[in-house]
Amino acid sequence: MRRLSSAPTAPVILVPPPGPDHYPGPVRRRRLGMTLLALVLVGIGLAVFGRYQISLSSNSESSLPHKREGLGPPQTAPAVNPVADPSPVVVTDSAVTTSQTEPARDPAPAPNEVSADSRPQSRREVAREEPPPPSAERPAANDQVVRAPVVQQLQTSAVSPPPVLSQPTTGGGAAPGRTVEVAAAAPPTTQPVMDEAKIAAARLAAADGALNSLLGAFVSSANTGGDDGAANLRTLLAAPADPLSADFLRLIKDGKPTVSPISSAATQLREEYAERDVTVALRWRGEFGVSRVGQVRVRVIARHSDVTWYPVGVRLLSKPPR
Amino acid sequence: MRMTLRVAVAVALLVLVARPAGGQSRQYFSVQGSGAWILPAEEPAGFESDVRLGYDVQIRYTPSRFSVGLGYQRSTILTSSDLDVSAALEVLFIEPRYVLWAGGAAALYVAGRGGAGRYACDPDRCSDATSAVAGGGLGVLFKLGGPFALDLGGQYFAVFEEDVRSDYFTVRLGLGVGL
Repeated sequence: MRRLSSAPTAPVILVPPPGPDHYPGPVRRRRLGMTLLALVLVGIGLAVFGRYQISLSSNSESSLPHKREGLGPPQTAPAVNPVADPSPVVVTDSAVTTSQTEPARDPAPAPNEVSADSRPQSRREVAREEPPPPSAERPAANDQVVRAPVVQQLQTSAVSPPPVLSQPTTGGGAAPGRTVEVAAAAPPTTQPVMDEAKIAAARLAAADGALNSLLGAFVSSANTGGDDGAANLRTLLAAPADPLSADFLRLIKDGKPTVSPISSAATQLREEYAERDVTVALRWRGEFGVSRVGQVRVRVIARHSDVTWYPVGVRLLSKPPR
Repeated sequence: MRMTLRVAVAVALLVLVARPAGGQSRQYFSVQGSGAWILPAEEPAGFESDVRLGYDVQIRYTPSRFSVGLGYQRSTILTSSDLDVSAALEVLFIEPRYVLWAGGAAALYVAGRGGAGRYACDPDRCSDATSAVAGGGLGVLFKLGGPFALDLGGQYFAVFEEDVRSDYFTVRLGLGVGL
């Protein structure tokens, strides 16, 4: 007892003196043991908890669909390899940040939720710990990780509104985490526009195909001439009983003209219809063997239904020559 | 006479088989028969004639403004009840035609005619020599209803018989039928 009580200064570093009173030697030794035990337990607990957090954050913030939805057990899921798995994304950098800075985090955040607004604290900490590397200096693995899902997302959203990530980021001096999003979110600002242009071009091409087909049938029937040509042509006219159509049919029947399109206006696309005005030249043998020439303007009309265009008919816009 | 009968029968058959399609003016092939009034350019003394009439039939091919016809013409050049004689000119001819102007229902044309002819006399006092016939003139075509067209024209033609040339002017009125 006396020997123990004669060493009062050693534990003072670990535990501050309780007060001006001196504890008896056994009590002080017990408190020292308890303190050491508590420190060891706390250390073990921190080590285990910290490891758990690393594993948890790596799994929970993966962009894989099943992991995003929290279907996979975070404890048993292997750590995501950003090089091998192209899906993990923007979130990858934030995940690392999270594991380093934040002890607790929602286990299943959506990719779009990973933004500067949602995690300002972690990005600031990243900025403090690591200076933002320029995008060109980023490892190839990270580039793959970032770009792949962006392309995939845009391909699947070709006809949908632009994704949230397409919002242009503001501020060149943003946090480092935001720099990653700039690289990932830049393409969506132009890609949907390009996709819309492609869709419009494809729609126009399909309409043009239908109009060309109808125009070809019209010209072919007109060139057949006679009763057969007039009969075929009657089925292609939008308004066969129209006086202009009647005159044209008479000319086709009697004159048997040679018909050829000579000029065409641009195809007009409307909601369900596509139209194109075409000028058709006619040359036929007129009265007393005299060659006659003339022109007639027609409008070729096609209609869109579901995914296909089908011909509506040809409408005469000008009086046929006689 | 036998030849005239044959031509008339042929023309009648062609008219019968003609389709009632477009007008004659639109058809490539047509047949045409015409009646003619013949006026000699010079009438020798002692050979005063009554009214001289004639006719012709032809088949025409009309690919364009230019057309051509092949036909037979018989024109009475002398008939006299006092003398009881008559003379006719029989010609196998080819007639090219070119439309100068065409309106809605009429066309102005210029035509030529050339062929080989001989005289047919009654009583038979004419030579059987074949003579060259050549001429030309103007005419107007009128589009009628159906496959018909009217041809009103005049021609001046000459018959070259050895060292003798006989000139005639003829006015004709014809009816064409498109085939």
